[in-house]
Amino acid sequence: MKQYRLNIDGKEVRGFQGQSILEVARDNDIFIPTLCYDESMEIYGGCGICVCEVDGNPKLVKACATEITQGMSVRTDSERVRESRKTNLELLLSDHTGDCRPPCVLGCPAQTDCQGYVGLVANGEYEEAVKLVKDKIPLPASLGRVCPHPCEKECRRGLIDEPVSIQWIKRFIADQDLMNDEDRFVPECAPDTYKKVAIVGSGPMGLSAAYFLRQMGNEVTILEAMPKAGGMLRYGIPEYRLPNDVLDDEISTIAHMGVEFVFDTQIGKDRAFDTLREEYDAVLLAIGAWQSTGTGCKNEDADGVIGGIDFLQNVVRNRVVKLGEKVAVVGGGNVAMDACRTAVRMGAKEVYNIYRRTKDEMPADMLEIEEAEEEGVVFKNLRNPLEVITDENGHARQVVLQVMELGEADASGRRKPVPVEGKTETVDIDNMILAIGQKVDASLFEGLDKTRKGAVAYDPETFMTSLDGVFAGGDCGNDKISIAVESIADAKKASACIDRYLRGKPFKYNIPYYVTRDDITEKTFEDRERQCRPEMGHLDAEHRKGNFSEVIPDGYSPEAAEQEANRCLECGCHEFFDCKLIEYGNMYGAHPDRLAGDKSTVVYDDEHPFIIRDPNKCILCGLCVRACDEEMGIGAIGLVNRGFDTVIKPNMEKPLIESGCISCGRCVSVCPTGALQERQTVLKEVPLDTNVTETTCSYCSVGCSLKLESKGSMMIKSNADKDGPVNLGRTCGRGKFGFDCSVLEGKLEDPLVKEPEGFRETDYHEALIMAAKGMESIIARYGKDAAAISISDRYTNEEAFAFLHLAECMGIKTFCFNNRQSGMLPVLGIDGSPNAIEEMISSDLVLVIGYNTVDAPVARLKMRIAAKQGKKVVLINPREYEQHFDTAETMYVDNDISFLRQMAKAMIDSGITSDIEGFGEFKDSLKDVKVSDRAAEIAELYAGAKHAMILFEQNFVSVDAASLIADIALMSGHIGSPRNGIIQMKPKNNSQGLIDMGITAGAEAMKGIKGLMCFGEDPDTELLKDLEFLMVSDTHMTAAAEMADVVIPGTGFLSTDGTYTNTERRLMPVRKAINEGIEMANWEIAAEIADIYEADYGMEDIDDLADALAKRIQAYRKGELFQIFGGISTPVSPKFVAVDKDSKFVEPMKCTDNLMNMIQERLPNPASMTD
Amino acid sequence: MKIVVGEGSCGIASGAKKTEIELRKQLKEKGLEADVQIAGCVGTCYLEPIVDIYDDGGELTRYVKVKADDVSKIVDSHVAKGEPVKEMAISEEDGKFVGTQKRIVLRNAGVINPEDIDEYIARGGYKALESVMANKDPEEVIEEIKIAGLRGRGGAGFPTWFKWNAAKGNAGKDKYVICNADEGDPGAFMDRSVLEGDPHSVIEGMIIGGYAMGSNKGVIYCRAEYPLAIKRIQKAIDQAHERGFLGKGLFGHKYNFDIQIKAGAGAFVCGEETAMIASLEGERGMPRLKPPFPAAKGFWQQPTNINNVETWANVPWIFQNGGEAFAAMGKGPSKGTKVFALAGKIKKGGLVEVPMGMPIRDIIFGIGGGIKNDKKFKAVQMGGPSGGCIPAELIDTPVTYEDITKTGAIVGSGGMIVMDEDTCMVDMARYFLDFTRKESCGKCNYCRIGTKRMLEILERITRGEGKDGDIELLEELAAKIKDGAMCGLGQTAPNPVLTTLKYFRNEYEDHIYKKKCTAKSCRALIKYEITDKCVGCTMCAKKCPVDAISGSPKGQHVIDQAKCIKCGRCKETCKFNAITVD
Repeated sequence: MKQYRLNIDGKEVRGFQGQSILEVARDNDIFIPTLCYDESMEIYGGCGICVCEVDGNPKLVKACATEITQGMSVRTDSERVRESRKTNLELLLSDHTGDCRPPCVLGCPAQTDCQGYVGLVANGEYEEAVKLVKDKIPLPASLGRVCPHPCEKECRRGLIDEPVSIQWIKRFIADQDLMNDEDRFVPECAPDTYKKVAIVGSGPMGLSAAYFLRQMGNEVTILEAMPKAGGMLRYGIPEYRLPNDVLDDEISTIAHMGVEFVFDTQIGKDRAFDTLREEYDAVLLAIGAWQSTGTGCKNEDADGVIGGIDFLQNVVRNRVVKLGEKVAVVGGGNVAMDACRTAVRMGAKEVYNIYRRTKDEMPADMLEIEEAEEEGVVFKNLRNPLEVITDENGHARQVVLQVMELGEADASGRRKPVPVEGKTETVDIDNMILAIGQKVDASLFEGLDKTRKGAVAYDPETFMTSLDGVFAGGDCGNDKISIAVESIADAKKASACIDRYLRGKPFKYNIPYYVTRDDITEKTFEDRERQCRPEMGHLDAEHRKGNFSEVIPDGYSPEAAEQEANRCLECGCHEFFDCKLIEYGNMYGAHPDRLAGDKSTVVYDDEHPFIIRDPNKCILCGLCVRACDEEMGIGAIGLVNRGFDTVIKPNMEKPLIESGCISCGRCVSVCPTGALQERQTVLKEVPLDTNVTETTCSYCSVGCSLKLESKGSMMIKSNADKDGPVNLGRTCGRGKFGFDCSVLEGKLEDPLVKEPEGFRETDYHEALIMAAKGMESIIARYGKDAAAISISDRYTNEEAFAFLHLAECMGIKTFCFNNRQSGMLPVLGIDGSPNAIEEMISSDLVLVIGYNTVDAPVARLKMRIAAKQGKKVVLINPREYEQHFDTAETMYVDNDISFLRQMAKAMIDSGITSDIEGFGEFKDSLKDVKVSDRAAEIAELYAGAKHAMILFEQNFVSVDAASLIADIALMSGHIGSPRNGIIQMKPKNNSQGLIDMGITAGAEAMKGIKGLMCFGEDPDTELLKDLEFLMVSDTHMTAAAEMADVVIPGTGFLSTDGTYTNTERRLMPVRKAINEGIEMANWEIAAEIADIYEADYGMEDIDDLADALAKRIQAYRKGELFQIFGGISTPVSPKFVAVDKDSKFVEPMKCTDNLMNMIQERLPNPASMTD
Repeated sequence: MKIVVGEGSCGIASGAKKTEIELRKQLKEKGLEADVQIAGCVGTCYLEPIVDIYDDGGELTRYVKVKADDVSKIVDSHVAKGEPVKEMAISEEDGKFVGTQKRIVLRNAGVINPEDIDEYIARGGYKALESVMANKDPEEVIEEIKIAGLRGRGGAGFPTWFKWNAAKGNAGKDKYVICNADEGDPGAFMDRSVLEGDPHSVIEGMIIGGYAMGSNKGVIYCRAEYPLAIKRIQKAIDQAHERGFLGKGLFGHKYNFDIQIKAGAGAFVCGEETAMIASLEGERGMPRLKPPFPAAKGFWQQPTNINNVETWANVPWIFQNGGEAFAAMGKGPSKGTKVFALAGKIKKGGLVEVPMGMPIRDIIFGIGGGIKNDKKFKAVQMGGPSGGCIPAELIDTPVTYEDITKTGAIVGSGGMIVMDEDTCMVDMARYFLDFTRKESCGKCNYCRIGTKRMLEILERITRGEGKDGDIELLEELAAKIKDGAMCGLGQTAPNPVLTTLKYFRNEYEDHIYKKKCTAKSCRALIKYEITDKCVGCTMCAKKCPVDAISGSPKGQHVIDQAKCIKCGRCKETCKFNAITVD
């Protein structure tokens, strides 16, 4: 093929003739975004996001569809390109309905993933929940107590009953973490950058910034004027709301990360600001706002009048606070409430709260107000201090209050208080506390630009002050005095800016765009069940007002927390973390609001068990339609209507389930947005950034590579791996939706032993001893030939070998119920596919003789590809097994082997002969056969093809039919070379592995067996009824397990490392994705039983097993992952075998893997489709 | 005597079928002998039904607007006595409509009976084919087309010889010649007229093309909304088969050619080549990316050439008269004639075929007779929804591909919609954009959503809710849609907006900033009021459909603005000119 040189974005690259710009760019790691391209499908060109500029072409070209030429010069990221992409994305986003992120997240200043951690709690994943919270909030136990939770104000559950108590759930998980003294979550820190950052102040802003900057690998020192860290959290919030030990615990985690604290050091006083700048690469000012502001009333400076913050601080620091009996606290915020309630606790007899408006307008939390009232605080609303009257010593004695009323609404929307002319009230007081507000004192920082009110001025997009390298945020800057979580939000953003600044990168902070819904009202949730929050225990007023004990002593119990978390309505899009639309939207700075207009709204109703459709999130990239039609050959969905009203709908506008859908989920996998989603099986679906494990499907013998997504122990979804050597990004419904069958409802968790009245749960020790003893007594009574171990072909090679090894230790035999004798073996001398599946595509003819699509669906896709590439594909099946086999020729015959015999006869008639042993008898056995035209035609086609392959299913066709197929191949010479041969589809993922390690017997081995240990098989119970002892290990209570004397919980492929050998003899990796929560791994059961037997088992882990296995089997010794053992197999002492003419063509065998049967039952039957 | 009734769709819609029946009935009753034939549309649609009477001497008298009731008079006088009914015949003025045209494509339309191959043959039909097959090899055929300078009449104006040559050069299992008869522009009907009036000219053109390109398979993709056209082409194909013009071994040569008709479901986008191919293949009519071009991989992935009806109809003429004769007409690189469909606020609407290069003025004011009700000419929309408007000041622009493109409009398939002073240009742009956005196939985002957003902006402007920045946003979207849309439909959809913005920006500004529609057409921006000229006749109040007008007889009436729906009935009704609109 011709090679071209071209230039992309200034980089000289090469590509082949016929390649598109996009392909060449990808090969060279040059990013070009696209929403409708998939390398396995034909070029579509609909999305237009991949546009590029090509020199000499006045138009923008689509990179996916433009072939490269010699000397081409391409720009993939020019201004014009970016602009086109941006507007394109804006158009898409302007017609997109959904909530990228839930309202709670957007309501949180720090954009904490509330839905995420609430959802994780609902699933019992506390550790993952803490990690998620701590991604944004370094002090969750503190914030879980004191945050005014703006998230809850936005919570849509409030439209039904009351908001989810996000704050208390946060406190719950944070407390759970703190209780794990040894094993608290400490985030990992990136490798050292050797950059030093000084943070001035250790309040929520300073602590959080230290936490984030340290994670990024920077050296961080916090300089604090006070003797302890915490800032306002410690000195401004009383202990009855936030106990010191909680705060201390959280700060210790930050210290543990390597952040250095220097206390009692005030910058500008104890240490010069200038030297700080010299010693550190960056400085962050996080000094907060510590000066109380006054009301401006007369005599405000009288003795006995104190600032709110000063008062609270003095109490915390145990400084002498002389408080009289009557205390008036001015102000309506949380600080005022704190002051009132602290005054009560300091022994004041009468505490008044004075506020200009009514209680409804108070900024303080309603709970704080209620609790203050319970504690006896008297609220004097609609009052404003006019004058403090002093005694002769200048000490406050009375305060004169102006009576107010509410007037017109002001700019903030609150009604403005106006004085009632001439109406006043005078109250006797000993002290007055001013909790009106605070301001910043930044006077010690010389040379720094200040705001009009004296706060630190900084650029809101970079957090940098007027001095290079000096940053600021939180309460001390830009005149905004706010709540802790806002400072923490600032800390996260400022940290990112500082880190980028330190790395010499542009450091402007961009506010991301999210699609939101504004059409949700109470009506939306009319039909929802009302469920209020679980109660949270409070100390009653009498018990709390005399001390500083925490008012809410014990947060939620796990049960209450999970129950509460389940009230979440799951507003945020579940596909957020995988959504290309929003990713690109933000990458190109889209602001779709400027293009706001009608949104297409599609009313739809689907009850598909695995697929959730939301056409209102569809961007019409057409990937799903094309995947279903082009790749799968199903065509269950299509485009309907025109223009703006174009929509993708299932066939004939039926529900998806009735459209011919085969539930393969390919549409879901290719969807770039949330328009098609998996219906998950976890308790509560949560949008999460998941962990991905690359492994191999454990169902059929094709060996599809899968990417499993998990979080904690939750299995979330599965996608076919594009790099999978066999499946190349495709899978069937089992691989897509059956990945988590082993952890689904009803999973066995504890060993069971049978008693006369039924099963009894027990521990492993007892169960395994009973199993060992049970087998021992059988052997003792009947001899070793009466005992056996059956091993399922779903286990990994390593697991199966563990059981095999156990059998060897015990001196008993092994077999697999699922193993049908290979009809090919007596003819060709091999029990394994001589050829690889992929060879079908490059062969000239593929004869598919005896194949049921549902057993190995991805094999059909390979046949489709072969047919689409012009290769002849012919399916020969019994009439009862008609298949949807587009692009291939189909032929249905009686369920006997006459057609195959006719084919063989026709070949002999055409003059084919052989000197291989047995040919004479074989020929004789066919002498009476009358050849039909059709059989002659197929025989001629096959015999005459240059390359020809046959595929059949071992557990579907009869043994004799398989022998006959092998005879035909042997006679034609289409065997033993590339593109010439046979694919014998084994029934299960590791059937071949079992054969290779010598587990070759099938159910026939049950003859004479009295004692059986059955690992992972659920055979016909008839076969088990004569057993005197039975142990079953499986994931669920199978029919076999019901008959067992001992049942040991087993696990599926999710929680083990190892390998499978697929039907091609290709070694496929299996990797552990989660912990299934079962105490003992499958292989360990074997090891433990061997131990009880006092046999020398000698295997400590999976690696030992793998090594031993490799020593045992020649082929596995040098086996590398994904490699086919031994390449193409040639016949070993071949021999023609004549078969009984009355044999059946197919004799399907029921699978003994309960997980396979479970998913097969769960998958819906596709609505009938004919070719 | 031969009597020909014009029975194109336009004629039939005006009652020509009834006229014909009545004519036959009367002749029979009155025992008169005459050969009654039908023909397609002659182009003067505003004069239908048309009845042509050829005296035995061959002299033609054309009767216009002949309703069934008028037949007896003509029969009694002209047929029976040989005395033409002067007052019913076409006026001298109207006669000019056809007389001043140069008819190549329409040479037979309205003249011959389209359902009779002999009439076509009698006018030289299939002679061109015969001589081509006898005397020219394929290269020479293409060379002749090159000499003629024929360009695609479907809209793009791409040189026909070039496309033929490309298709000729590409080998394939099969090769297809397709006639695009998916005429989708609102207001354009030249293709229909040709198919209904002279189907053989298209068939002959396709056979010549097929021969030149080495194709044996022709397909006519015709919209299902043209049942009469489909019927007549089918009849013509059958007749051509009978005569051996189609089928195997044409004119004793080895060459085979056959044509089949495919009816499309009438989607505008299916006029786009690749979308049409998708539709022909049974897929949803959505464009495919080019390259590969149809000439390389088209219908069923085989080399395919697509030309539209008018282009094909030109071909036989070129070979009858020589490429040079064709090239002698026109201006610059725009050769030959072009058929235009004159519609809108024009006195004489219909089909006109003129040499390329004729100034627009001559078409509108010459052939078309000027503006209806002698109102002021404001602009003409050329090229349908993909085209643009040309303002009054550019009325002397010659109709060539180059000159029209310079104005921002396009020749397109030849739609000419004439607008007068009462047409609001914003509303006009809105109308065309509404058409294209509904016809968008939905495949690419810029077309599917972009046109919708532009439409929304235009809608709010006409509703009086336009905002500062809207014009700029329209311009931005228009530029990006042109740049980013996948096919011609999307790429040209913004043209009506862009040209109106170019020539009538002030109207947009008036709508947005002054909340005024100068043409007094946008209802949200106008107000009807009754002045003191009112004499209290009460007529307006009676006509008002929403009872918004009140007043006592003989007293001045008042319009309740809250109720008024601005339908304008009152103004039309008032005999005293007492109602103003502003």
